[in-house]
Amino acid sequence: MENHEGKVFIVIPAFNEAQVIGGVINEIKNAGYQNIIVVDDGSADKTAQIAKNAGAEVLNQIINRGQGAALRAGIEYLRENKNPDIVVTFDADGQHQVEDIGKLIKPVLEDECDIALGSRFMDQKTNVPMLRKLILKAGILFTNLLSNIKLTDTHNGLRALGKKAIHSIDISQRGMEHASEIIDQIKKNKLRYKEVPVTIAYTEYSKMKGQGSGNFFKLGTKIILKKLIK
Amino acid sequence: MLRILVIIFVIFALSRAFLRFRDKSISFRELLFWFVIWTITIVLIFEPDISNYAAKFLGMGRGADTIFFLAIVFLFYSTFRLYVKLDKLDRDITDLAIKTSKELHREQK
Repeated sequence: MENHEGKVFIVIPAFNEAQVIGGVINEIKNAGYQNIIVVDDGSADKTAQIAKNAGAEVLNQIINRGQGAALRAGIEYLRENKNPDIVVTFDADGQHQVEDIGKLIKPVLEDECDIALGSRFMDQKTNVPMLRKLILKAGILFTNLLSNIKLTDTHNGLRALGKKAIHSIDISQRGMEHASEIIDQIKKNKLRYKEVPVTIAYTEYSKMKGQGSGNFFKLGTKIILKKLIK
Repeated sequence: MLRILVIIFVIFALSRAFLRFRDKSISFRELLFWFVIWTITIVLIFEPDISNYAAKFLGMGRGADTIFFLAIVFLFYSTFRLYVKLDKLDRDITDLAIKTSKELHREQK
């Protein structure tokens, strides 16, 4: 078991994840990462209580504001109180693999980059459902065009932010559009980035909890509208 | 008949605008804006030919088309403004929720 005490913080935004959050936290702890912040995004179930019992520090959003807002709350809280070296953003639904955390933080610790981004398309380990793959690829093309950064995966919630990224990325989009916003800010703040292959487990639960395919069109419209009124 | 209905509606709309100004929900500028809009409506109801001058000025055929065109432009602009305001409100609620969660956490510690 590695010990990353005091350096690495894992931020998990969670909304109604009582079924899986305990297991996810235990896995992360067993891998040696003890600093876990769960941002309970106004869940109606016992997500917050279970996360606390599993040993995570829990921030409670009083109303549901979306994944972007939850991540912002977690990162801001750490920035203001814990002086973290690295913040890893990790999904609560169990689709991310704990082994990938180490792969992501390595290039940041070795000062190869300011932010490491997980990509499910860099190798063949992730079995992405066909329709999801098609929509994700369209999303990647769309985000790459708008942000002018070439990435292989743009809506992957697994990332590791180094100090410079922690202090310069400000998430203002409260929903899923925050993923594109982070990429915009990498460009804007001239952050060094690196994509790292990660594996996404598409379980029945994560597919049910994840974005519906139709949502991606809504997301695209939202991103364009928000860019227009900025 | 249509004229009477429009006049009744304009009086109703103006009274609402005035009441909202009185309880300070809208500013004097906003009251003035609605007053001008509804006055133009009344004038056009009684003197529809005036719209032909506007049509000529804008290079359009008929006065009625001009009113229709301007109304659509106005509606688009209003929708855009509403979207911007809603977006701002949405951001404010998010800021408030995040601030509250951090403060609650501090208090619980």
